[in-house]
Amino acid sequence: MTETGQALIQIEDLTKVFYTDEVETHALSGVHLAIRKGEYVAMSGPSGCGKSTLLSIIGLLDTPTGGRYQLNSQPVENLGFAERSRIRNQEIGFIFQSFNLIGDLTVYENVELPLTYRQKMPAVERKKRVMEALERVGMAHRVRHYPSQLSGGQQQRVAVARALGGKPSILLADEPTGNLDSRNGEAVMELLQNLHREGATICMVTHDPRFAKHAEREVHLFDGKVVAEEELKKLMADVHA
Amino acid sequence: MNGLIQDLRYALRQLRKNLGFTAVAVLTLALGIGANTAIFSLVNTLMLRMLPVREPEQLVELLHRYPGEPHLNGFSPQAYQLMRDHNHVFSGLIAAAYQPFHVRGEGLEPQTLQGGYVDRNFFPVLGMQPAIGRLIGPEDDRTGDPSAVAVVSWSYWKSRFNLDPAMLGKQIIVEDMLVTIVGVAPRKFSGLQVESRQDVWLPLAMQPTVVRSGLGWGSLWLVGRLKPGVSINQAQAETAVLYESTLEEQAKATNNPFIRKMKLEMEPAGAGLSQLREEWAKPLLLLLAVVGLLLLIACTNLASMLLARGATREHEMALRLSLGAGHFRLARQVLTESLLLSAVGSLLGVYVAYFGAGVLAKIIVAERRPGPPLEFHVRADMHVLLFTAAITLLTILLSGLVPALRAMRTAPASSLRQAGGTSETRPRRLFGKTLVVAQVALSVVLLSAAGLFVRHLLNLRHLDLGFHPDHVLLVTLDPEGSGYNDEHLSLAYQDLLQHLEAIPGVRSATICAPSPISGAGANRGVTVEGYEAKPGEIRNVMESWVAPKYFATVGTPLLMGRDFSFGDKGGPRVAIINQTMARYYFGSRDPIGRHVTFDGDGQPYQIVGVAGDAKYMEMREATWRTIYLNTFQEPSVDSRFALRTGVDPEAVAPDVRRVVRDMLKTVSVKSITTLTDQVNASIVPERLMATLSLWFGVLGALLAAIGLYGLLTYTVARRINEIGIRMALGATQSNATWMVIRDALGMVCIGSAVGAPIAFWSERFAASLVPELQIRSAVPIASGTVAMIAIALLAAYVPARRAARVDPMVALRYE
Repeated sequence: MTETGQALIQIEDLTKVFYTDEVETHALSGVHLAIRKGEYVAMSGPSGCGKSTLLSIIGLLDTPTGGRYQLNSQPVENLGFAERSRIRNQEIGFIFQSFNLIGDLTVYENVELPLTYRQKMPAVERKKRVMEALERVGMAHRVRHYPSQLSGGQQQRVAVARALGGKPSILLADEPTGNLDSRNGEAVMELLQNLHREGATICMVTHDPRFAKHAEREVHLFDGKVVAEEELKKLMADVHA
Repeated sequence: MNGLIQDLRYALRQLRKNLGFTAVAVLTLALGIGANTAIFSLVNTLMLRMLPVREPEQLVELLHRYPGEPHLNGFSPQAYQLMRDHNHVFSGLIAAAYQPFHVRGEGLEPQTLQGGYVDRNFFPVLGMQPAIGRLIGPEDDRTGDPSAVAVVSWSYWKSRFNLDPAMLGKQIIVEDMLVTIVGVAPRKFSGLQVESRQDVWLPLAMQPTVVRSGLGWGSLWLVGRLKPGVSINQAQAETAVLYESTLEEQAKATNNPFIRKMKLEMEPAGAGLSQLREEWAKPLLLLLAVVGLLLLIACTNLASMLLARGATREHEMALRLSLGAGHFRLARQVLTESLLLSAVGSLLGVYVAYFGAGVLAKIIVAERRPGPPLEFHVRADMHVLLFTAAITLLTILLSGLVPALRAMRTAPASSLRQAGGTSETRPRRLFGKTLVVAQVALSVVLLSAAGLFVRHLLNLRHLDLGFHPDHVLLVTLDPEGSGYNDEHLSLAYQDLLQHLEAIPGVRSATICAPSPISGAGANRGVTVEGYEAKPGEIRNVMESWVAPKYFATVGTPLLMGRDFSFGDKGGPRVAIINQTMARYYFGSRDPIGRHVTFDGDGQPYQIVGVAGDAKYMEMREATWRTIYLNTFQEPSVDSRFALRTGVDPEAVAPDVRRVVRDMLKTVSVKSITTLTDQVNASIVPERLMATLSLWFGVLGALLAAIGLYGLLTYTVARRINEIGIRMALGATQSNATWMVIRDALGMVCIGSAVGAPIAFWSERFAASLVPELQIRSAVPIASGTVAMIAIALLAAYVPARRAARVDPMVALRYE
């Protein structure tokens, strides 16, 4: 357990319930989690355990049904749409499994996109940040290309650059290697590791134990709860039995 | 064949499945095709439909024209005889004098029928055979000894005699003369005039006997049949020489040298003679251009809807390809749907056209003009059917071809990989946008044209007429056969004016002939005391016969001198002239007390007053030199009254009828209208152009808005994932809204930028057809553009809100 004062993300007793027709699905049931600045955390667990839901709530894409969530010591669980948008834009960088680059925009424009939503950022500053981010992921030579002209690995590197461009407090990666072959997957993991070494805070969702090992801490989820690794193994064995 | 039926069945099923889409598409096409067919039907009736006579293309209409004035078909009997007997260019020259007849007879209710006197050549030269009996020929048209015979139309024979052949030889009374019906004209023939149906024809030689007065100087309509090989120009050149020789005699006889300036002209008459053609041809052609643009917008709209739908069916097309369908088969499937939509649209369009053309025809003939009321029957014929078929084919091609070509380019592998979804490629999006841009551009042209015509109408409405048409009632009496002689009628009318003024709500009453903006007028050459006319100068001035209080009643100011009075009767002849005439003849000198003498009239008129300038026959005309004469000083007083009221003028109409009935028992009220209605009736073409172009402009803009709405809705639906990504990256709801609005504004701005120059050119084209149109202002184009932007923003509102409500979580889950 980390000290609360140093935690970038502080989550207590978080719950998320989905209601469909008359069915009530508890995706998260009393999750406690803290992520310190500069920490590299991997969230893993079987399919449907709630890891992507938790990531979405951390990324302010979704709201919890109950519990508390503090980002940079500020409560964020009950913010309005506009404020959540602003925090997402300034504090969070997303890396998606399917890259989610916009096909009509060039590499440069894709990376620039989140910066264009920031008011009063001069074009010169935007350009500087875009180029810096692209150089960090080794894609500066492809600025005029469209996503369809890039390989999967290259597209994911551009997506990482897009997440880095805004200098966020935390990078949230949802199965970043899920759509890549093993060689490109390794390359992206190496990139994330480098970023971590340079001080980035990263929270990654993965179901692949090989990639989870790259993180300095693993958080295991099962049935919407955080469990210890040993307990997870036992639970999984029970399920298989 | 089996495949076609399958395509048709499938297309029907598709259209039934998407009822909303089908309804919008069919309605769009119905309006486009209906409007085009309606306007074309009018054009066809007025300009294209040939007379049901032998070789109508050989017929020419003889016209004459004073320089700068409209041409007229109205010749003297002398001119007709000379040209008929001495020309070498016509195989026949025919004359007719049109006039309404009061017809009665045993078993026949008295009624007024349109008809005319026709010369002996009339039916033979037209190459017509009777339905029954015989037609008027040389044996009937003998000067001094004409046969008292009549030929009636087939429709009259049917409506009055139920097609009974025994009616031949029956005697009827035309006016007061007993004539024998000797034949019935062919079924399809109802005279040479397009907008008037003749039912009775009498030999021309009977005219003096029937009306007890000779034919006037310009009473004969002339039509010639060109000899084979003779061109219209050759005929005009030869006949003009003959005509000018009659003018010389005329000028000497009337002491009016201006007559020598008249020129003979000829026009093809195969499509019949028309009073409306010259006035309406250009506005109708402009309207045809306007509805053509509307149809283009409708087609583009449908094409974009079909394309959008085609995109959602790409997976289905790919599946069909993978199952062995050929590319042409797919294209045929798409074209079949387009064909079905167009066919249903055109059927409904013909229905729209049927009613639309009927309403338009009524509006056109409602235009005030002197003479008998016009009838304008718009019927569908082969021209109209071909036209409708052609525009239907055009809509199929324009709306269906691009989606069909796109279907042909479907790549099965990539499309199937979409697993039911569709890709929104850059070229496809660009093409969809291009279609919307085209619609916006065309709409800007339409709205600008509407602005131009509305502005023109407003200019006419705000024109200083020189009188105040509101609150003036115009009443025409019919003293014909009342038993009053001129002297008695004059005294009775003086009395009547006093009683009319005593009606509550009436402020003043007068007589005016012609009333302002009635379309009728008279002019004569004058000699003005102290003014030396230059050789060749136009010496004619317009004449009005009015009673005391005319100027107060119509609201024209009396600037100098005095008004007429009943006391002028029997005294020296007096006149009031308008300002233009005073300025023309007297400059800064005082015209009061000077004298004016009319050509052919020895007694001068003394000028006793000067009135303000006022429009005379038409609103669009320049101010004429006009002289007002006291009707009570003339041999016969006129029967056209005007009353200024302090209340709604129509409210006093029943009292006017009562007073006339009480005072002049045998004189009937022929017509009652208001001066405002008369003025409005004089600008029917302008009103119709403004109203229709505005409707079509708004309709076009609405169609463009529907197109824009459809495209944006479709785009937002296809870009939900992208919007979700943007929101995940920090875009706010207003960012998403603005993204859609910006898209819409971009298309509208490009469309406007393309449309504005076309509108600019179109305005000049319109002005070349209608010279009165003022095209100096950029207001119509600017207002058209602003209106289009406003409509586009409205159209973008719903898709923009939808974009703003995209939940990034849901959107990203699509991945």
